[in-house]
Amino acid sequence: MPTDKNIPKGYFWRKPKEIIDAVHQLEDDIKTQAPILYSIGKEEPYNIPEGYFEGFYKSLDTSGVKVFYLQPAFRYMAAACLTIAIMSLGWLWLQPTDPNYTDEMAMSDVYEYYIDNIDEIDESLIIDLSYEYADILDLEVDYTTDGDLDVIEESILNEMTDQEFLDFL
Amino acid sequence: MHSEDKDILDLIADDQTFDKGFELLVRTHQESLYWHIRRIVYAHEDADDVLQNTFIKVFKNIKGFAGHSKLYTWLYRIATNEAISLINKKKKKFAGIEDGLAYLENTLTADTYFDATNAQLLLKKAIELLPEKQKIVFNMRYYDELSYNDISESLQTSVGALKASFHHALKKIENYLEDNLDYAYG
Repeated sequence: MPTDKNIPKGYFWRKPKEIIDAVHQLEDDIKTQAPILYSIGKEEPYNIPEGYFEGFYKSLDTSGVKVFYLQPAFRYMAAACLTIAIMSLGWLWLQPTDPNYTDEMAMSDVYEYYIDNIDEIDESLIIDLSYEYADILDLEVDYTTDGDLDVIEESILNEMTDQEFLDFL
Repeated sequence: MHSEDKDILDLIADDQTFDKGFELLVRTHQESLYWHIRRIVYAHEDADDVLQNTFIKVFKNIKGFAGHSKLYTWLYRIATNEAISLINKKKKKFAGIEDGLAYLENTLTADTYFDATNAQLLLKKAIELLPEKQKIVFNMRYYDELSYNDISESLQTSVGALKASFHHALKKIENYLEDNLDYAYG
């Protein structure tokens, strides 16, 4: 870990270049992967009233708003109380009210629901799930390849156990 | 921590200089947050409301900011949540994709601070059709040019998932633009 005295040689020269390179890399990616988007450009069609930003701070009305500050010790106490509350609610939720009720049945119903309605599940959730799953199995995932993503997304439901899937959801 | 963030937080930590620190925070970050919000809610009036609410929340909670993340990623998180909350309330009466587009068109045509070419309007429609999270990831990466690490800090999502989201968003937008090219340049 570098300290003030042993910053790697050329660090401050290299850093701006790395940032500029990253921006150029993004532009190049857009140019090749989405040429129509690239041709439209980034210019925003939105306008703002004249002097809006200059006057914004004065228009901000914080009178009557109290600054909230929790002492660190109280923060831990609040976190502990919240944890106990969540655990208690979880325990109550898991208690069967009907003697014929089983958690396994309920979970399989939920699972069935997701299987039946897979098209309606937010793609972002599936993507998150893909990466969680890839991390669990220590898979090498190439995020820029559609094929890889599709394979992972399709294989999740086949390869994950019901419990893993439900845990994630 | 960035030296600018440190200056702001040092001023805010002291009750004597709190107001000065908060003003510096607002003036430093108002513009980037405004544009981030505007791309989510579209209309200037709504963006102004959300920006006000964002800074009120920041004002209330800034003393609890522990500095574990960069100040602006924390601000982006609050702004994003506020903007999504407003847009969800407004969209409740519009159900389904087509109506979502109708919402976009209604909002933008009613907004006097919007002046787009056909191609720019088409792009806004393509972005509107993305799932909520993909839309935000796309905006933060494409327009704000934030690094994946910063977006990750702000949205509490893994870098890998963000890269995938951005890649999917890019592909969907390009396909939509390609399918409707006549409208853009016809």
